[in-house]
Amino acid sequence: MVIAKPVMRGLLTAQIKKHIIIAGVLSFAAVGVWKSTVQNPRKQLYADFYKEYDAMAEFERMRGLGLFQSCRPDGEEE
Amino acid sequence: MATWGYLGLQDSASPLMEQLIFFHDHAMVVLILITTLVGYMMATLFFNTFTNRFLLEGQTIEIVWTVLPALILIFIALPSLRLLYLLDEVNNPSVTLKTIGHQWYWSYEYSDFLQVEFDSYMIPTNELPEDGFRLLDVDNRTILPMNTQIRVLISAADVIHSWTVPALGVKADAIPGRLNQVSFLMNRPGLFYGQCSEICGANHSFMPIVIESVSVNSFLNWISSASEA
Repeated sequence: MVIAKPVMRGLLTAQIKKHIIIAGVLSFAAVGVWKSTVQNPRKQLYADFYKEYDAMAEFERMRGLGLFQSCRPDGEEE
Repeated sequence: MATWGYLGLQDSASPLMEQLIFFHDHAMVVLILITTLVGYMMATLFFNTFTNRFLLEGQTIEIVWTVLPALILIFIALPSLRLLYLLDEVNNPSVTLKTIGHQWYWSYEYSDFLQVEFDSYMIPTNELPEDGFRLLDVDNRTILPMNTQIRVLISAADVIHSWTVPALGVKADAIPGRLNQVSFLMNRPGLFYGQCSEICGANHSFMPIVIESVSVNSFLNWISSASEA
């Protein structure tokens, strides 16, 4: 019975090539996960927050809640 | 401000801090790439049974793992330099605040038009109101106008301290005999907290900074009444 000659050389090199490719794919996948779950949503959150942000309205709301030392809510006794 | 379990950077209150946060996210891309790559390669070592007893050199791979890191570094450096120059841009501050670090409190001076000076001590825990923040709240907050370019000149009276407000992305050492300058703009109202960031003695952890960002009119009213007092 004749069997094919098994691969006798270059086993480590072949393994390294395979693992480098897998490592590369995994790395880029991890980067993709980071970008899609953290980086891009964060940019979008900031953009959405400031798109229609009214700083003066927020200031008046906080002042009304008595958060500030320098400007107390209307009607509060000094 | 930071609350329990906070891992990341605080939400920004300044356009520059926003850019710093985005740059940090960008740098994390590179770190995650490298960590995953190296981590996987290390994990495969556990399962490797092959050796090459005659391995002496590999010119191609040497070139690859020299050039690739150089390209990665350029990928980090370009946004970093852009931000570095952005942070150093010349602007025209409308308000100048002087802050001096002491053992163990900060003193503030507003001397643009009216002379206002006060000390800012941490509120001790046993005097803290129900809604106060332990080790962060102070008796006299630093009042500043929002949407206004502000210059802070920082120095110290005794030992080295460091004045910082993470939400604004500012930190500078307070060194006796030296004036350090930082510049920022707050784009929203609220309270922003910081803590002394250079070891300065027994109560180094107990000299916080609180910035109260208010409307320009409120700031002007406050500074007029403070100068009259």
